[in-house]
Amino acid sequence: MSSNNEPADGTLPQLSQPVTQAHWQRVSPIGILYFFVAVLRFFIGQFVYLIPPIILLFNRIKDNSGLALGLATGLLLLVSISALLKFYYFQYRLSAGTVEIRSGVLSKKYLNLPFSRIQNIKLEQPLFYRPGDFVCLQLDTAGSVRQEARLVALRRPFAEALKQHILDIRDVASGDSSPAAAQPTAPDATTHPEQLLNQRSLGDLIIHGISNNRIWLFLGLAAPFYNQLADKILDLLLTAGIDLAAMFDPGQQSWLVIGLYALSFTMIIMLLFTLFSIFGAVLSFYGFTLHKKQGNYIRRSGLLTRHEVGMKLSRLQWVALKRDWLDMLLGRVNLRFEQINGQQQQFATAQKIMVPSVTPAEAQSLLDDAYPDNQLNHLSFRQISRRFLWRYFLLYWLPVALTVPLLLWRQQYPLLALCSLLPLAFWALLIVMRWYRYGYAQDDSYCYIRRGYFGVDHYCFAKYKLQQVQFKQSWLMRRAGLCSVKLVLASGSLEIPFILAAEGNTLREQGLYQLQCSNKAWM
Amino acid sequence: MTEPSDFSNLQLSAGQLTPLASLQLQPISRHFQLLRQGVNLAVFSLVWLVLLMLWLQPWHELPVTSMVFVKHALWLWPLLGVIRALYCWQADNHKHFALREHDISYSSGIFFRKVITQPVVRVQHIELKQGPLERKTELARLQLFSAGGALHTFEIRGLPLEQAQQIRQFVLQHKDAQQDEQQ
Repeated sequence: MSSNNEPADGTLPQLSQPVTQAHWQRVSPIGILYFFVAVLRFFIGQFVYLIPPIILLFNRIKDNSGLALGLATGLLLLVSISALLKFYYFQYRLSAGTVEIRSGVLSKKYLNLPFSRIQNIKLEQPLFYRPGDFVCLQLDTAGSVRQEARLVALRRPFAEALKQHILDIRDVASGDSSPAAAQPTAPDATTHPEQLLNQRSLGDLIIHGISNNRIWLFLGLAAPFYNQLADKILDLLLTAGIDLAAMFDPGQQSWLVIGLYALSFTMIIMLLFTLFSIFGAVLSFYGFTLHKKQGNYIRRSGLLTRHEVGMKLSRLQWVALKRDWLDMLLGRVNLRFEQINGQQQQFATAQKIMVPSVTPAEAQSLLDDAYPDNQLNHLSFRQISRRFLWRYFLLYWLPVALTVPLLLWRQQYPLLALCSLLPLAFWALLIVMRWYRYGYAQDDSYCYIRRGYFGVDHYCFAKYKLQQVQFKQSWLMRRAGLCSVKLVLASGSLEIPFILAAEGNTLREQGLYQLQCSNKAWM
Repeated sequence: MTEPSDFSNLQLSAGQLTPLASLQLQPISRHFQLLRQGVNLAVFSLVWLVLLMLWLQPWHELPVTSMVFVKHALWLWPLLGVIRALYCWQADNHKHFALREHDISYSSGIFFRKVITQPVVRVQHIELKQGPLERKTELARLQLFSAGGALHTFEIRGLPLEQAQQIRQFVLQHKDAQQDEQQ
């Protein structure tokens, strides 16, 4: 077995030798750090529910600091040793056409992955890999989640060369490449330069942070600490000469002043949340670039850990252009290239490429790049039937609208009954907006669906990507000559409710016709 | 790629795959309907017998509320059974399937009609399933899996075993033909 003697110049002699001659190799020693972080993360993930009690018992722990220190040291030692062992037992072997990985300390794992089976290649660069320019190469197969392989610490040139090699082999295997790409031994970067499709500036990311509030995630995570946090903040404000309890005491202040305080307080909290959200957006999308190279989209981003995600254009299932109401105000679109979803729900984010907060013009040019002959901008969308409104109002809204206020009224809560009208009105507005936004259109090769509430989402997909079509009709819909059509793709399903049955049939038939006569593979 | 003008997608009946028969929408097996009724009857009778024993048993005095519950359950339960039997019978009458050259369709639903069409090219793999009772009555369930996910598995229940095997063969051969064309 040889140690980690990777050539830095990008040539990979071991990829031309048969399995019998290949040597098992270890990754770079920096991988120990990678395993250390992974094990630590695993521990924290396992015992996250213990954190609130530990914080509650903080004073007790302070009294027994010796014991606590010993425990912490023991834990760190345990993590270090297991990281070392994991590193020691992690070996890989490259040969012509396959990568093999042996890993595991107690339960051994052996993985043999032919290059032709690899669907996605991702390069990940955590912060501590930056100085030495190491990367973690992740290879995904279409099959199951557990089948993924990680080569944890490779030098970047080596990883890049390996990636290029795998991409070339895959192109040859699927037989859809140009003759130039069909030479697996010539990963020549100059003949296939990367074409920059899009990049995001810090300003764009700030806009993304404002319009896409990820704060609810933060709030959920911080839930165990609310009480302590509130006490801390109150103390802090008191030392600064602000007595919140007195400020909000109706005995000491007039209602108007309290109202003003409450308003400004809410504003400050909102501002804080927005700042957090901006921070989150910058953290995950810093230095965002989208490149295109030989029919592959490559996304790179990340402030601390740099992620590189590659997606083959032929695997693209649909393009989604999403705008919520804030995006509408700010004139931005979140564009997603989505591919196979399947059962890998927990990896759903890894399966798509999101281009955050682009302008509508940029979104259109990205869409045009993926689907050159799409007509999203020129088509007029057809509305769905008004009966959609009737169904949701009569079946769901009306029963609730009748019972809830009436019940509250009879229970002697007239004020509450009056207040309940507000959410009811909002719900009604949502139903109307949903109906108003729903639309569909099709041309010879693409289907377009528009939907949303206050914002608008557009979905665009090539018809031959369809996996299944469903046609639904209730008894009442049948009488009115209406139907709902559900179009199933590998990335999920899209439903168009309450359209004319004749149109539903055309939609179905044309979709099936396109997919059956085109003979194109869906991935 | 096939020229669009050459393209055809005529309706086939399962019988055309092997020698005879010609049908449009084909109902599922009558045996399956009877089997469902039988299982229904067995389950409902069993629970009813347990209720009856509770009502008649002299050994243990039950609380009054429980006795009232059992008393009403004794007539409500068979009523529920009859309603379910009628519903299942009607529902099964509304289950049909149809084969075309390139896809399989399955329709179901009394009030909410649903027609699912699964193109054969997109089928990833096929499963033929048989429970113990289905084995006894020579019935089978045919499942076609596509990349649309587990939620969208295309399933036809209550097919005679032989017919299910023929359809499976049809799908498999269709796949082979497709792959040959591509190579």
